[in-house]
Amino acid sequence: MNAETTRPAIEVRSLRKKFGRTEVLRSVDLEIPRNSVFGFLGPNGAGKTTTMKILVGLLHANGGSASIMGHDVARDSLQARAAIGYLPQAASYWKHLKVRGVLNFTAQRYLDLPRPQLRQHVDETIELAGLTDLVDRKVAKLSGGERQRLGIAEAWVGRPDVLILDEPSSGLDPEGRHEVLSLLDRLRKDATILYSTHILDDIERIADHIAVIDNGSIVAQGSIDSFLVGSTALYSVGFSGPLFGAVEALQTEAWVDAVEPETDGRVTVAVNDRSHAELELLRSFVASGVSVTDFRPARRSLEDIYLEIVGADDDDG
Amino acid sequence: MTTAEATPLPASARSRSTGLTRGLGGLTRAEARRWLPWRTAGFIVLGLGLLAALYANWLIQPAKTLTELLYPFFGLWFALLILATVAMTQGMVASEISQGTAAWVVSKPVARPAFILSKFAALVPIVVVAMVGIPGLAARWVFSIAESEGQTEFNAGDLVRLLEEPLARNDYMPLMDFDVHLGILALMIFLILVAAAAMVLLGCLLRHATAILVAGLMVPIALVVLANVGLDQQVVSLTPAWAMDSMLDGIAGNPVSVLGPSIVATLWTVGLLGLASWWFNRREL
Repeated sequence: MNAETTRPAIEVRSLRKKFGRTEVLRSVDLEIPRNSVFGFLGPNGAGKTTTMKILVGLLHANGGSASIMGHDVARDSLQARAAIGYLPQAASYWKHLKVRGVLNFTAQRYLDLPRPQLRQHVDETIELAGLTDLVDRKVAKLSGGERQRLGIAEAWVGRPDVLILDEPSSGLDPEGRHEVLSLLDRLRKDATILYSTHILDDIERIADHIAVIDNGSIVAQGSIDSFLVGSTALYSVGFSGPLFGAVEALQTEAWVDAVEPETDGRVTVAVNDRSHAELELLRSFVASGVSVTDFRPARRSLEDIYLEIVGADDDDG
Repeated sequence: MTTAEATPLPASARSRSTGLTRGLGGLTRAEARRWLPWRTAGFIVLGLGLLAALYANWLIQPAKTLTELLYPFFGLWFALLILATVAMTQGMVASEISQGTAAWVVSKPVARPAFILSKFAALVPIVVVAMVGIPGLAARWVFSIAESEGQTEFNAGDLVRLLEEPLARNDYMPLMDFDVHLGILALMIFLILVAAAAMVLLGCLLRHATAILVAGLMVPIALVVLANVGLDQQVVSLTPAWAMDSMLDGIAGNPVSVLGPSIVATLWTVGLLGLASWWFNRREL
């Protein structure tokens, strides 16, 4: 395996961008492994779209560098763009085009294929995206979900190595979201997908890596498993009867970060030392006279983690 | 939604071109297909309508000299062509930028200059054929008929009916020298191309359609002023106003200089398009 094939699909180093005097990106570093689905999270105005537009060559960075499949997006823009399929937040097409026309136009920009093969290739993409019944419909007449599926099909029709999708499921009903996510799930084995969204459930369902951007800086980045497990482990303890001061006793322990009694006869305990917790946690409850009914590790939701990261950063700021 | 799988494409299927004009041919074809029917119809109606209006005017008040006939003819024709060019090109780039379709196109592996040049390249054949060629040849035909006494084979249709009256009263249109006529048409084409290139540049520089329209209208006015303000000929010959000056000479019955003014106008067209491409390349979308 040579260095080129092990190199990340997208590398971003100290990327900076200003609009006038406003610093939109302060120093963004991203490393997106090949064939990963990379969720890009952050509040509105955090810099997600700006980062994506720089990658696609629509905006110019004021500092730092970015490369797609080894091609610098500023110096080697054409080759970088040849490796990208892009779906913007609000895709615009020429009004006279129909679904097939959009896909034909885009396919011709990426591929040098004889006409019959190109047509076959476009037909295949149409089928893949479930657009067969819509090929002769004008783009302006598509519903939100249909339009997003067209957008993804259009991003994919040139068979790029990288798909950059800016909020592909925003504004869709649950069925539309499901269709879009299913489509992405099918494309993941053939491409690296960088995917921004506000919908954390979508990320949890489809992404294998995530990064959180806030105020123009990446505040967290890693595999989704490392996010969900994190350095703090959670345990959920079920009990019946009173707690007899068990909560207060646990809060004095150095290996405990937080204790939160729930309303349904459970206590959630966040610990910073997993092995210590597994030895001591149950014993502490029992020593306090609590009647424990069950004891199990708990999984934090991405939403909790996200709010923790963004909230902590906002507090700092 | 289906469960179809994507067939892998061979690496050779991917376009490898990296030149400054990557995508130019495809974009030009797409642009031409997009506007061809509207532009062709618009320009032909404009050109033939103008001819009919001028001919009707001549029937009412026949010109006594060549200059008297041709000045209003070419003057009005050229003014309308310039206005049509400005009107039809004013949103060519700016509206694509504001509607997001420019970003849609250039997010693909397309050289940015190709996006700009395709707008111009798709316009040129229409300008040459529909705006100048067809009305120009039609004008030539009308003048020829009018001068050729006894050509009764044209006594059919509206145009010939209009011709019958002057023929009957033995009052013919004078005929311009064919070379001069072609020279004027050629200069007209080059001037229209300068105007179209200027509109492309304005579309890159300005954001509002009204501002582009107003600035675009200043271009022909500037050409007319430069040609008539009495500047040193050496100064005029550095600008497209030389073509305007030469065209006015031809209309007045003087020898028309085509080569020099055409070269200067072409250089201006290339320069304006180069500037537009450079600016668009830097522009954020």
